[in-house]
Amino acid sequence: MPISSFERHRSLIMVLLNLTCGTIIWSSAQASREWAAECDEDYSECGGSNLPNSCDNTDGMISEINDSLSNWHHGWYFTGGNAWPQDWRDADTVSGGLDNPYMDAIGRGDLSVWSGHGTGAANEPNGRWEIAMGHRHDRACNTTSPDQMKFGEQASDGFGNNGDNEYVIMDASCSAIEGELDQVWENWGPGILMRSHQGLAFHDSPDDADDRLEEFIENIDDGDSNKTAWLDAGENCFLWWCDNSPMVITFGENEGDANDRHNNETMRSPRADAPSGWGGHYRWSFIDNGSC
Amino acid sequence: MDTQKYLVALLSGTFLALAACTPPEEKPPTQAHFTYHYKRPSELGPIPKEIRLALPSIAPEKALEQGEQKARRLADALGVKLDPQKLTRHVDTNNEIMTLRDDGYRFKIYARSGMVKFRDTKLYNRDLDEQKSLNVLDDETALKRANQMLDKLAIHGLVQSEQLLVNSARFSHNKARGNPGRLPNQTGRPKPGPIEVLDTRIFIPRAVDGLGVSGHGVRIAFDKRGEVTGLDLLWRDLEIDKSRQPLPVKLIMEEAIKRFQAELKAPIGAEVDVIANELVYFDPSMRDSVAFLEPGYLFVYLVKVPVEGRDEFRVSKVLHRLIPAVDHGMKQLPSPRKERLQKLRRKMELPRPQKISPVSNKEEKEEGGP
Repeated sequence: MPISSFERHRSLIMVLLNLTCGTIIWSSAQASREWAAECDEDYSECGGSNLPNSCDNTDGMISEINDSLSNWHHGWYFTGGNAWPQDWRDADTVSGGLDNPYMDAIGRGDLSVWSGHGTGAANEPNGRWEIAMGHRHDRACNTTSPDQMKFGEQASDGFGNNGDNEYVIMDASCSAIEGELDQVWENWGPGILMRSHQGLAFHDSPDDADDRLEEFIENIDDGDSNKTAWLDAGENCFLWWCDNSPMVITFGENEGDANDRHNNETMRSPRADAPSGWGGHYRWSFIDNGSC
Repeated sequence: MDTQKYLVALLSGTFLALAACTPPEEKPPTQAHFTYHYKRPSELGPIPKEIRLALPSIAPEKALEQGEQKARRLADALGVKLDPQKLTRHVDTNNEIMTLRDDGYRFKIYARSGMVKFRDTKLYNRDLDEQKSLNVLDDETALKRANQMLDKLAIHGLVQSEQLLVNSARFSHNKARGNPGRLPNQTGRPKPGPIEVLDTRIFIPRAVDGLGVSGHGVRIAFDKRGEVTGLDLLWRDLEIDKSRQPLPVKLIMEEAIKRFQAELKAPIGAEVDVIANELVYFDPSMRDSVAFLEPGYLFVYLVKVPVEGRDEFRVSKVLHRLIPAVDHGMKQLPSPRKERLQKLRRKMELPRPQKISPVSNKEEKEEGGP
């Protein structure tokens, strides 16, 4: 039987195909990413005590990203009255929501960061959490999860299927409390991580440090996974004890994938493949120095 | 009416008339409510009446070099051999951080303070399958091992044993858990797996000359086998200034509390949880050089502001306020890092593109806020 030209060159074609696919996946992981950050220190308008170091914290992160993570670029940086609650609200399901152009924007918000106040309840867990802004915009001071925040939604997830975010940092009090992660962060809410890879937050009230986010990026640059870097940078010791309970929650296709991402995903080389939108599996780690 | 009664009546009348004319003292609106949770470590003696200044014993220009030497001594104390073939030494562009690392270990040196963090990069903060079936160290065993480690640090000149408040050690753990996500149309809530406790961490605080030093101490993380996976040597080299007379403490704790409460601009109705109030040597940052550590009353606190109509609060981060306790006439060194970051903010911060400002058509009531 005559051998076709295709079959004769099959091996060569397969090698070339593999090389092409490998290159696409590699370059996708190396591809440019953008960070979007918001912070507030002045709470005289919306209520709450002022936070003197809240924006120094994001400044330090940006400085360190500029110095050491060359694949990450400036998306947005809004501080004080320019940081709006609407920037975090899903544009397709919440009236006035602006996450599409801002914190979940394609080409802007692969990493989205809030540094400021959060909310807590007298009886936690109560199934909800809010970003608490310092300045009011369009009559709003807060943005709520699970009602208003959906990040990284794509394909047929719903909520407009137009998210792009991979990592969310909530450097704020009570932002990831054991017992309400399924509502605030997971797709049970459905909460923040619709197809975003990881949430980095706090199980208690962190201190108003001016260098936590800088330390986080330094750790990543030094070879840590996001999880190790966050747990390390998030725990801070002052006076007689270590008082922060940093939390990392990771979303994966299944349990194995969630564990793998949890332990190995790094912003040095972000995974190009988003986790599943529905279903999937979540894994979280935290340093237990107390809760809200 | 005799003269005496007349005078009494006159004075009383005058007083009543004056009282009626004087506007009642304005009562402040509902003030913040302060709750104090702090329990002083028993190892500390009574609050001193006089204090000597604590000064850094290493000049800022020598800090980087000294920091590296310290990291190498720490490696010796830990029994860690850095692989010379794979060792990299990196100093950041601002000369603030140096890292020494090979394939298995990392030493991070904060050049301005001389503090050092050690990490076993294959074990620290890792979920290790091979240790899954083991139990974590209990507090007693962890303390015993920590004491052995502290002895080694002291032998290598990295800490002074008498400054360690071993009986005030605090313990914590790295924990992990997971659960399946929600399938489309699925209702209810997931059942998470069991909480896995992965390591044991211990923090031993530092006191110098009878005063605690804020943020100083030794933190050690042990894996389940008892190996040291991480060690933070939060220890600036200090010397007590004996060239000057001790300085009298100008206010007592009760006065400091009054001043703290009077000066705190907490919103009306706020709940202020004071986590600690202690007379300390205050170290402003591990990333800055200092001329001295300010002796002062340190208040570590959290502010909760009720959200109207809900059983919820706006919760601050943990804040601190330092009230200086002595007059010393010295000036603290400026922070080049702070200056650098402020310049960066001005450069990176973006104005709002106003065209994207949403104008909601709906009549919505004001949301959020207290």
